[in-house]
Amino acid sequence: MTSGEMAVDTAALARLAGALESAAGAIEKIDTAPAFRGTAEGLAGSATAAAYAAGADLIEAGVRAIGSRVRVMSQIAAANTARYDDAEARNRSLLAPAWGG
Amino acid sequence: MRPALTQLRGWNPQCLNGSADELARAAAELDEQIALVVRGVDGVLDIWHGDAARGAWDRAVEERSAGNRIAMALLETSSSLRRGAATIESAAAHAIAVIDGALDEGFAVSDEGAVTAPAAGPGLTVAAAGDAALAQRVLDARARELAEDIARALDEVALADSRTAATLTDCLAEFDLVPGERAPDPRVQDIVDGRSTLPAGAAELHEFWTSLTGEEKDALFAHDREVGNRDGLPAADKDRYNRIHLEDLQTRAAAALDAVNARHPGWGAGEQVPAQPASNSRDEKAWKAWAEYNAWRGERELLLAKIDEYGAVHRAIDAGSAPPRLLMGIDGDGRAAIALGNPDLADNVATLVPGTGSHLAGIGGDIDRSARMLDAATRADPLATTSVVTWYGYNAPQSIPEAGLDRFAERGAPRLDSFQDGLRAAHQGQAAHQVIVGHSYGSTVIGTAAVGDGSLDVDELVFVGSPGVNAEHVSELHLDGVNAGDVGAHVYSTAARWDPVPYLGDATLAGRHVHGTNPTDPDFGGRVFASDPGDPGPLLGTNPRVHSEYWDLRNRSLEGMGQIIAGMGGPS
Repeated sequence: MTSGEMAVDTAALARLAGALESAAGAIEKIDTAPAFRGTAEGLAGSATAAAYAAGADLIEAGVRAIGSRVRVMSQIAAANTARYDDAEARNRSLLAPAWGG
Repeated sequence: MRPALTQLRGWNPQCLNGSADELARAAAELDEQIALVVRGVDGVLDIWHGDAARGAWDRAVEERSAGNRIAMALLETSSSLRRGAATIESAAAHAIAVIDGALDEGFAVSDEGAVTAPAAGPGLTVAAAGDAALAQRVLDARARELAEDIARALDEVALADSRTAATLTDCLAEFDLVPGERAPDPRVQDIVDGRSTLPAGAAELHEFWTSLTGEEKDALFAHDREVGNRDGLPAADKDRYNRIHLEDLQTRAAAALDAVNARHPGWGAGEQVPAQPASNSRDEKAWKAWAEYNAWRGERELLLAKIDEYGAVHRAIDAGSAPPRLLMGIDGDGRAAIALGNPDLADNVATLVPGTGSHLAGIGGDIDRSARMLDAATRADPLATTSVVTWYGYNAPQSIPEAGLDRFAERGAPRLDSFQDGLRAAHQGQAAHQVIVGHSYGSTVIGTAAVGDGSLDVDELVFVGSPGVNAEHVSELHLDGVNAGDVGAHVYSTAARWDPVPYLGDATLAGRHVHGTNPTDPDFGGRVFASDPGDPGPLLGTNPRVHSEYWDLRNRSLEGMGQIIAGMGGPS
């Protein structure tokens, strides 16, 4: 649909929403836990292992934060798509009788 | 802190390299996904233009920045782990070599690194010229040397460990600097989760609402599409959310109509419509078909009426931009409110309450009346700003017999009261001069809201062509902050000579007025301002058309309303 300066192919926008959702899912699936498993045993009792263990949650949360941010982007894109489509459908139904005579 | 020997022997600093590999893999995966996000948005910009597209690109750039920051932190952590692995491994290997050397020399090394010399053997005693004590002193001296070497080596290990830990801690702090989506205010989350509700009072709601972020307001709207109807919200927010809600209502009504039409595609086109059976027909099938058709037609007409109403509201809010039109309320039950000018910012705020026969499809006519009152108020006080709200916030009676009933007013009164409280709560700066103008049965709604236990938070009431306001005397009406004895100075009424409706106020049923004394009656005790008489008609001189002429451009009543709204007092 196009209107003034605005123009959008909602099918492409829907694909973008899907791609963003997929990226969000992939980011959230990034598993940082294995990076910590060996360290606790490999350097038991060390300050390094303690510091690293203390950061495990931070690293996991940092990665997930990016995933959640991308997911919100995806949701916004999907909502926009639906809104554009709704407006288009409504306009079509409003105009149809005039065209159909 | 020095590691114990058994601890040190159990260490495998290479594990840090394994962790570093895992983090590097995570960074690469994150990098790849962020690149996909940026490429995805970039890819649609060829066919997506406008503010939303620009916003999406800005957001993609922001996410890339945040993602890059996390990826960099992962890589820096990985790198510090590798450096740590090398330094700890080197220091540990040296310490173990020193310890093993001591052991190879026959010394005992405790878990804490203390070294004990063995007993001097015959060979060493011979070498010491047969002096066993000397031989033992030599061994003890060596033990001290070895202990110092071991201590230095273990200190090197401890230093490598603590430095690696400090570097890691610095790297890990980077992960804390990238915020996720901000968690909503717990009060908002409780409402969204159904554990709590919005504050009930307009003032409390206004205070709560204005403390929220845009995202939190959006979350509440997503939870309740009618949140824009809540009194106390700023007019700009009401307008924002109610416009979206209106579009939703229109979409849903159109979809429902499509579904109804799809059930009987021919009936909509007038084809194969069941005929009404003869009254004496015993053809059950024909009667059933006729009943089904009538039910279908009723459902369809209801949806067509709703679509018509929503369309009228949509046209009304899009009809002009000066003054701005704000959708102050809209629901799926035939109620709405539209402001001309922002009431939160205006010096004078008036609310027009329409009367019998008003329904949303005709809201445009009352908005024209509101616009004329706004112009009249501006003429009365050109330096003041005025906003007039056309309030269709109640379901009005649709016929004269219905207008004799109080139940429409009784249902509308609390809504009107709350709406006025909301206008007051949301107003910015000095309190506005707030007025309600009721036409016909609309005046009955106003009066009903102000009698008994009711009280309206307004400065003036204006009754136009009123059939009565459910009060026999002005002192029965209550205005917030106005002494009962002074209310008469704040209540204005007008009735055209040939308007039939005010005469209803004089009519009695079972010895009492239907809706109370005509407020233009001197016995009522309020102020009366002039209207043009209109043309006499056939019914005892009254003319129903005159009832609709109070907002005609040359009618004296219009200028009178303008002066009252502007706070200039009633015309003499």
